[in-house]
Amino acid sequence: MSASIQNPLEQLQQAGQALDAVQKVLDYALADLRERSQKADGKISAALLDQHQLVSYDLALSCAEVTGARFGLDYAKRARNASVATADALTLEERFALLFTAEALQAVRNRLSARPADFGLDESWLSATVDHPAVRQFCLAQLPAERVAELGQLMRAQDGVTGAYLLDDHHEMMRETFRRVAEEVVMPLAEEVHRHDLDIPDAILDQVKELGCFGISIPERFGGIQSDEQEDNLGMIVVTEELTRGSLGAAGSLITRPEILSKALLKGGTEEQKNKWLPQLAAGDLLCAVAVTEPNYGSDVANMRLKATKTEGGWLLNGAKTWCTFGGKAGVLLILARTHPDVSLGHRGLSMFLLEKPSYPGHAFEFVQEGGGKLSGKAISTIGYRGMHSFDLFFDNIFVPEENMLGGPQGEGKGFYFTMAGFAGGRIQTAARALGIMQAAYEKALSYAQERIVFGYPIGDYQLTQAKLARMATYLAIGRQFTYSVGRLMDQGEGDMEASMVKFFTCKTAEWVTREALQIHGGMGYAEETPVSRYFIDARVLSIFEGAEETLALKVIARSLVDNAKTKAEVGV
Amino acid sequence: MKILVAVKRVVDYNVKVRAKADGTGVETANVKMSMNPFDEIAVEEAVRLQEAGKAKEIVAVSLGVAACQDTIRTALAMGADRGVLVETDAELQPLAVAKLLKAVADQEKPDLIILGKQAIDDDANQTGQMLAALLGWAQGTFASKLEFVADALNVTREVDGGLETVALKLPAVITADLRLNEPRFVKLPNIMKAKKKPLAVLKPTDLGVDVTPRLVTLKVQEPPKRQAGVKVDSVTTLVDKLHNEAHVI
Ligand SMILES: Cc1cc2nc3c(=O)[nH]c(=O)nc-3n(C[C@H](O)[C@H](O)[C@H](O)COP(=O)(O)OP(=O)(O)OC[C@H]3O[C@@H](n4cnc5c(N)ncnc54)[C@H](O)[C@@H]3O)c2cc1C
Repeated sequence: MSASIQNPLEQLQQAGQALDAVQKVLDYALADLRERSQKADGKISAALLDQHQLVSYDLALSCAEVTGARFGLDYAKRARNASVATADALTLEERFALLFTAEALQAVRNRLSARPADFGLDESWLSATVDHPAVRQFCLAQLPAERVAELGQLMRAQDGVTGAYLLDDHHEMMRETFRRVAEEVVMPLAEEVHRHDLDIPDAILDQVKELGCFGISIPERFGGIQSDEQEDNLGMIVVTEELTRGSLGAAGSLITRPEILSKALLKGGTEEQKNKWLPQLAAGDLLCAVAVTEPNYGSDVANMRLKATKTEGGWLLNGAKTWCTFGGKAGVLLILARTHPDVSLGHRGLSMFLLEKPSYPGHAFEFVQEGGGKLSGKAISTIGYRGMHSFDLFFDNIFVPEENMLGGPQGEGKGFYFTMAGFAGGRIQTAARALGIMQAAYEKALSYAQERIVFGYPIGDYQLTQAKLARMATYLAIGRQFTYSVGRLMDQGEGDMEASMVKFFTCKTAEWVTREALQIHGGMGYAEETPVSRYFIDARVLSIFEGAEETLALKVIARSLVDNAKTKAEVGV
Repeated sequence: MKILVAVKRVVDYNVKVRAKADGTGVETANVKMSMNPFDEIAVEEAVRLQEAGKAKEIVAVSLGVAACQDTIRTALAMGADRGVLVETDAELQPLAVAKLLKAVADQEKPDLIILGKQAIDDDANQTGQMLAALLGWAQGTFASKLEFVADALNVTREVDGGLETVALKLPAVITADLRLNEPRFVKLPNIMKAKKKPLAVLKPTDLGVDVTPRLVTLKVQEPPKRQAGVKVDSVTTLVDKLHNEAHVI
């Protein structure tokens, strides 16, 4: 049957079947990787797994794409139910899901067939899955240039909208509100903050505070807006996405720190600590920052060295932290420190502290405590992500009272777990930041493509530009639904690994989308005065923080996939 | 004092409106809908009156399809206390809307009704005036300022020559102009609270109103595409072209 006469439903079914086939080969490769990473006692060895990094990375990325494609197909179904489309016409959302699935399948095929033996695969596995006629036919039907360009043409008539968002009404209202805040409050100031490396203007900070953003991840009983019964990650995601559309550095990242700190407090804090800190954070009266990374240890969180030594009534901190974003303005720092002198204890020797300090504007500060302890901070000059400033911090006998150890006396040695609890929220939030930048970049790209005339026609009239717009919109729309779906999983207490997957995937995608948006602008894209140059630079940081891409792919995603891998027998042939 | 505000669900002001291919109307499938901007101003004014201690209760009313509930929720998040939806899939023209609003007003007995001066979809600018006539109440249209002086409501109106102030006795109908106020951003906690505020749904038949349209839309079409301009080299050519080609002078 030729693809052109298949109705949308049949095409989506075909996509689902192709994904099933490819999931099978991925499951088999994971089973194989598991066998190769097991010690004699059957346990997975991190060192053995590390011998297969390239395969691990490729499997992590492939599984992320296939998972995204599945959420994409589900999205297409929901979008059709919510629309008035006829059964024989493809909706925009179906086109996104189909193109995304086909490209994902094609990419997985490339990776596996480049080095099948490394994945434990032979020819027969490939021909039964990624090379299976049904899978190939599906890709061949979806990927012709004309078809991709046709989607680009459709996008040109969409005013920058990238598919239905399918939010329930209160989340839609949040989106609506913060879309306007971004346009009316953030965008007019974003360029100046970026070009002159300014502090975030009070006009933005006060507005975000007044609208209640800092309480978005905090339950009502602690002064936030979350229901006390159930988490609502989607609200945080939507607000972050829209603020980031205005600016990553000057608005969209403001909620990240309270997100991390409140998740850590909710996980590890004593009732007293929650009651003391959460309401102040929720109201935005207390700004916060996270000091985990050190000059010598970043991804390797378990190895942090900042020293905490017991003293009368509390602890003394000595050592250095780095990249502490917002460390100047913050009134409280969440600090991961080594409370046990025996370094061989690894992560079990780490604890978390909340250090109160004055809020300082600018790029450098020095805080001297009454007892003589000193904390100095100096902002690191960066190519982008400007506004909050990321500080090098030096701790010289800084005193923290013992009631400020997260979790109280029971919290000693648990700092690593609390950090991870905080970071889970930070990851899904960072996926949302990636969406915001992509949307901003896509809108600029689209409008420039409509207006800029080259060789006599708007560049949007050309096939190559249409293909770019189609692919950008597709990855953005599916990335968004992937993120929203993971957010909903997290509301049910699941989705930890998926949060890493979607962070990994959307941040990587944001680099490419902002790159294409800049490219469509030609020379103007490279000018500082054009917002896409900022989007490009800003997007670059997303794959570094909140879990560096490689660390996430290898240590979190691949590790978790391997831990939970089926056996070869279970996968079958 | 009790205030009724009318809020209409319209195609969002950011959306480029497109005519349906068959010429029966504008495309609304998959198009973003929001509260009519003038109605937002009306709600904002009501909320300010409440904050100033002048109003006790604000009721937001919308008329139309079930999805108008979203529009009412927005009004509730902005500060209205409860909502009423008169639900119908029928096309509603200004007279029908005015009659429905009158029926709601008969039940609710507000002291003041605030509407937008017009809706940005059909730009009819009739509903407020018709409503005032049907109720037999005073009206202050195109309001750019409201001020209570003793027991009168002074309404500053934007008219052609400048500003005109009229003193109204309550109950009255006000229609909001652009400069009456700048609507606030909705706060997150209020969005959550809005979910729990009461919203009643009625049918036109419950109110005994016949909403059958009296006007027939013949055709909706897009304006002709603008032609690319030309540069002329002198004022003489410009005048010549304006006179002989454009026929405007
Ligand atoms: C703008 C900015 C803001 C930041 N804000 C904060 C903040 O507020 N608080 C905070 O605590 N931190 C912050 N960070 C720090 C950030 O979290 C770290 O940069 C990140 O965790 C990576 O650590 P690192 O820089 O030490 O890189 P490294 O850990 O040194 O890694 C270097 C490279 O090696 C890769 N790599 C690591 N391990 C492996 C491996 N086993 N195999 C192969 N490759 C590997 C990494 O992925 C990376 O590409 C910020 C960073 C930036 C750039």
